[in-house]
Amino acid sequence: MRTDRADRASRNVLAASAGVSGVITVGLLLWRPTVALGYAGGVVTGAGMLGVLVFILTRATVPSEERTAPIWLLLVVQTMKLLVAAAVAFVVILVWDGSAAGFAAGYTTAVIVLVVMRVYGPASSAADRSHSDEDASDAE
Amino acid sequence: MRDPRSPLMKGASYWILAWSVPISIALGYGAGWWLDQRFGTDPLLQIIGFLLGAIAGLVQILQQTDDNAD
Repeated sequence: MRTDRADRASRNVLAASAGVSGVITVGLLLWRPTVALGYAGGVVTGAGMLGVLVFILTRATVPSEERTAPIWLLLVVQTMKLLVAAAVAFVVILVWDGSAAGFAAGYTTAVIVLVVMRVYGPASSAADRSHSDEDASDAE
Repeated sequence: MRDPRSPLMKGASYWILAWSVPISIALGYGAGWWLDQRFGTDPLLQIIGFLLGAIAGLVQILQQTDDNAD
């Protein structure tokens, strides 16, 4: 029940941030198209990079005997993610002449969403629930 | 197990983690670019700086995830 609420809240945060990013991109498009291009590129790169980062965090922060993937595999995933992000940044900033400041702003938007979701999202609620379960079993 | 850190500290650690790779790459690439200008080796040292920065960022992320796992 609590996880459902947390998942729904998490989806709401994602939907809201996607909507806000879309509005910002359209607004920038009318003002400075190169900044809008950089911003959109930063959001896409940030979402991709940080999504994989969260995936790795949730796999790698479990005790080693419960780990489903070896550490070298995590390293390969990180490296692939990094190459894709570097390629997107290269194309957006150097080939399409997008704004580097806009790119940094877009990446920052993605980071803010990550921080909000990880601090107040399902992971945090799951940890609290696990603690409550421990408290309940201790009381018994 | 409950994470004993405050929301602010948890947020700060994710913030640092999310920026560690881009900042490492930017520093490595910038240092490579500066050295290329000095020694006329363009773009060899930029590429080496980029790769070293990427490796440094990855190592930092892996170290932090290992710390969290322990």
